[in-house]
Amino acid sequence: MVDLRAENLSLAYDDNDVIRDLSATIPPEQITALIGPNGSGKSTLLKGLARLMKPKGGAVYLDGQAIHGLATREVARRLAILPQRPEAPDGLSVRELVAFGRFPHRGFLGISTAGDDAKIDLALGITGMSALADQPLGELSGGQRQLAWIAMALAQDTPLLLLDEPTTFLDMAHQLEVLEVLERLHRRQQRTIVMVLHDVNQAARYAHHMIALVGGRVVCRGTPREVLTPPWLAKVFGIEAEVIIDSRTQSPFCIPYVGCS
Amino acid sequence: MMREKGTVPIGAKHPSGRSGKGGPSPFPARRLRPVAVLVLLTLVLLATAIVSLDLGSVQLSPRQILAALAGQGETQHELVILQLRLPRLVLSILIGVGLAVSGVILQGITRNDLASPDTVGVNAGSGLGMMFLLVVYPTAVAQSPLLLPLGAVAGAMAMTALVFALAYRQGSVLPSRLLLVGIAVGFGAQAAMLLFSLRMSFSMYSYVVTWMSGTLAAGDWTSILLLLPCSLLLVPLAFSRTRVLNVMSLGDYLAAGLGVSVDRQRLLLLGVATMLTAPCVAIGGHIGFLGLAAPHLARRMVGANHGVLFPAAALCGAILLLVADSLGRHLFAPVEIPAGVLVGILGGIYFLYLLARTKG
Repeated sequence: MVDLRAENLSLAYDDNDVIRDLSATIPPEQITALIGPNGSGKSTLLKGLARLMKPKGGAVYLDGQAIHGLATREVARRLAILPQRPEAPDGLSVRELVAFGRFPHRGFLGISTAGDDAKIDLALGITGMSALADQPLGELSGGQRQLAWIAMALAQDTPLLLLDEPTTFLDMAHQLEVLEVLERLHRRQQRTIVMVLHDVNQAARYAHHMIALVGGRVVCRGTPREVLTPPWLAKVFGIEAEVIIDSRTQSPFCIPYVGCS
Repeated sequence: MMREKGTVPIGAKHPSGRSGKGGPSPFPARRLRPVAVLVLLTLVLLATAIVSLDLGSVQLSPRQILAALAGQGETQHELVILQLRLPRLVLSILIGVGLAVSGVILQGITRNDLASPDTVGVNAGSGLGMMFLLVVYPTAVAQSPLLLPLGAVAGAMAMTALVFALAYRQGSVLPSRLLLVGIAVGFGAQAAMLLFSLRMSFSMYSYVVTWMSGTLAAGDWTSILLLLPCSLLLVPLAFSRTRVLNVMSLGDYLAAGLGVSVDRQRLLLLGVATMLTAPCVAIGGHIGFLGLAAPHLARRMVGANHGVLFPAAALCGAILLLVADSLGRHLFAPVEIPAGVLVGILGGIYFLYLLARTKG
């Protein structure tokens, strides 16, 4: 079981404070969605949790140890992160990309073992990319490319998976495909998943736990039914909305009407 | 957007979503089998080496060359081959390899195909180091010839340290910043070199100009002894960073997420590139363009995987410099054209050709 939490965390770019004195615990073996308006610090918080940013104050703890005291490689064996809009060099095939996920597990000489190949095949299988494994990444559609990147993060074989807006720039069918893959992953392998999502309805449908940020602070957290309520939506996004329960998925669904700021 | 087959003009930008890399490749690279390319390049290098040994004012048959190499030829032939042509051959290969490998490193750590020893200020730094010694301590330099290469190495390292310090912000070094600072500092160093040259005697100035044009004419076994240890140490060290460079090509965040200590590796690799370039520049002078063109050519042939890119670029660099040096010696003999000038002309033509192809 993994334990990831932030304690009094402050993060800043230059002198621009983004996250201020934030404390949060990521519930293990659940899907957590970070939501909030633009500029609320969701992506920054995700980077901080993944040790990609040095905290200005406070700390992030991974399994009880301060994450900045751990070796980069050690962190990479326990936690995988997929940033927004990742880019790969020209001509890379899907399998070559996914194989990068094995990097933190390889020894000094970087020799790939049968175990590595099995993990790569598994990651390709669960994302439905097996048939496209030898295709160059550049020739895939945006949705397929995103799945290839997710497969890379999966091949890293970490109990924790952090994703920054995995569905942005995809059409609706591909958005659902990506989210279904993540849900399948959680169901089959009990991985802890943290993702930044723009669409609150998607977040409510796929996440077990939601954390809403405004101005670098957590304003509310809880189950989708606790967070997706008209008062909280007004407070977080400044919108007047009606919330209904979708009869098919039993998750709350919001219909925004007017901005009320 | 629908894209039907046959509607994309030939040579059109390949829709691969790559950006921020000195421009997308102008047309989809025809990828050959990497191993075949490496074998082919090795054969080309061998052929070039044989032709290069044969070129010169003293005409020798292949048998005479072999006899001289084995130490069983006529004294005059042995002198020509062993003391004149062979050292230049070895030197061309060492310097070609050194500049190409550091070009690959610099392009890798900046994720920019336009990075090279010229653009991060390494060349300018070693030039400045030598000029400084020549102007400030002319007598000391005249007494011990070893001082100049040392000055070049010190200058290159000081310049790289300066570039890195200026590019360092908030605990990390951004690739784009590194390149911009490198270019700016390089220009500054060249201005300083111009100032130094105003204070030089005419004979010293002409020496410096010859050196800056990049010639291997002064090459002998002593300079090889200086260069060889650096190459033997640093080239394998660079090759050992293959997988790290591959992961770094995904960008800083992903590389860090995959367990690479990005800043530490970037500093280490920058150090390797500097230490590799500095003695090459000290001995061969300012052979610009090679560190840019060789990795570029190699990437077009074998792709971006550093496992094959490193050896392919090293071979390309050796071949290019060997061809340039041999042509320079022979074209207008007895007048010699510096290899650096020829590399510049050949490289310039190649890039113009690329430019013409990209118009589609």
